[in-house]
Amino acid sequence: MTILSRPESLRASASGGRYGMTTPIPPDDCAKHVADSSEGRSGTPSARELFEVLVREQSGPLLAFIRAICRERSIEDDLMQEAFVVAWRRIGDYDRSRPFGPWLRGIVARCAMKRRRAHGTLFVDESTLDAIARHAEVFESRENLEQDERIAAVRDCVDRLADEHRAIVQLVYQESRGLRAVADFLALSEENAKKRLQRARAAVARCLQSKGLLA
Amino acid sequence: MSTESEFDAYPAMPATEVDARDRFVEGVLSIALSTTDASRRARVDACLRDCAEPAAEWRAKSSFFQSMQARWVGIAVAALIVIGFMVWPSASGSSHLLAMAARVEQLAVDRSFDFRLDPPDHDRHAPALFGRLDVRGPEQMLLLIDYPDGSRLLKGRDGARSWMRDRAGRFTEGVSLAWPGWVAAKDGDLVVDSIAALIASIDERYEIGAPQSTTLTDGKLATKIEAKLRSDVLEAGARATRSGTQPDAVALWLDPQSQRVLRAEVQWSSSRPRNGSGSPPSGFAQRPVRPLGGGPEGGAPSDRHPGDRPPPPPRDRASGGPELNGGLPSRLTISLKSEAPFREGYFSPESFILPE
Repeated sequence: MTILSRPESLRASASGGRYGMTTPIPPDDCAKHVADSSEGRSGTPSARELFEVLVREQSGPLLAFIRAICRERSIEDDLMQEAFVVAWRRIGDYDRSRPFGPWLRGIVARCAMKRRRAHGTLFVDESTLDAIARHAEVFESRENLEQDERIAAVRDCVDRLADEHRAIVQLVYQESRGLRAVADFLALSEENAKKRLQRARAAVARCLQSKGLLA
Repeated sequence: MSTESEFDAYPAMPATEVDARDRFVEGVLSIALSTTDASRRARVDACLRDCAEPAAEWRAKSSFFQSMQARWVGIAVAALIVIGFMVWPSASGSSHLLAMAARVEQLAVDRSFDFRLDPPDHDRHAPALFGRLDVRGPEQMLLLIDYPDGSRLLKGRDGARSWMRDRAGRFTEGVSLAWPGWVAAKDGDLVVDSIAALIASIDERYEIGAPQSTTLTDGKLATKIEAKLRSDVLEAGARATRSGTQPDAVALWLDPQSQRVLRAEVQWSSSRPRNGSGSPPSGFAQRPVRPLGGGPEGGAPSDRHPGDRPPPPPRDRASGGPELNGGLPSRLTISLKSEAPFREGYFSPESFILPE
């Protein structure tokens, strides 16, 4: 990932720790930074613009990460929005010498755990989240691969699946069909369709691992 | 490559690790297969916009989407009218480039465009809508719109048949299915595929800026040409001469070598009157649509014979037919994504029917 040269307002010391963030969230920082960002001079990217560039670069891996840790799709965007607000508030804590993706995912993870404590099991537990974060880091850190190439690698793995596995993967993920409808279409019980889909995902996982894209 | 025995022989792992691995692969598959670049940007941009507005930092998501469903969906269609009104002035130093671009655009090739519709200023909290348009000449096309709730609308025609798969997955086929006005103009030509004709129809109501060398976000070099409505056209006395959908500004990015239009942005101001009367449009399908090829503007709805264009599409959400009571967007952005040839049968309805 390319870390753009950023103005001083974005440069700060690193904050390490689990998921990449440690200190409490100042309540009013978002407003302060928004005000700062509006001062971008003509021809010079504002802090806000650079922040958005970095976030957009991470859109694919970030959405995959959120999908993996959420048990309820309807709250995915809520989580992402909350994480962006926090990230923007704390952008001064981001260490530009480090990749932006893990830092942002760390914030997402923290927000997810906070919500899990408040709302129960809408998100995976912490140990599962840790494991997912490791996979995400490997997926993102594969050297010499741009985001589009990672997506292409996933599609290649799907193309290599056996026909029956490729078909169910495409029906579920490409056509966004519900498992019951897919099961009916394939003349399977819902349970068998679920197992076939799991096997297909396992095959994709092995393929991604062979490409160095999975832990 | 995969078999069930392979899965059964999958190395023993702690349950947590197996679950995490499976979940991550599911997330990756969802993103790689079911979302386009455009839809990913839509989701991220919607969240970023809210983050940038401290006063509106935490709005209930439900009300957010309710607002979007009610207004912005319709805007999508009304919006994209846009391209139908890409009129650019020819009397400037950029006219030569535009003429060359028009010639290039006349070449019938397979093309895939991404587009984005930004909501009007009065509805600025609504999310942008993103989609894709694949075209092969004037007879074959596929329109895809990804909605923020994850649903998707598909409309296509393969030269002989028109078809639609609505947001609920239902499939309809018929030779006379209506198309959004921003896609197909009155004479049946595809608006987006007729940029050449639209360029040729430019008039003196716009001022064209000098061409500027610039770089697109993907790193490609481009020549940018901007056209803005002349100030006297914007004055009240001249409003009667403007179409309700005529853009206030158009910007084009041309490939410096081929003169292909790589990107276009069309903007409307929120304060401008609608339909020349200041009132919002009563329905996009009833609005005048400028014929392609530089012909006169479509005129008021009452001026048109009922048989001039197909009836408006259904308005209910589940049908996927865009509601037609929205206003103009603040901006339409369309980008050429690919000129790779589509496979044989790509536009046929059989390619997109889902299992029942």
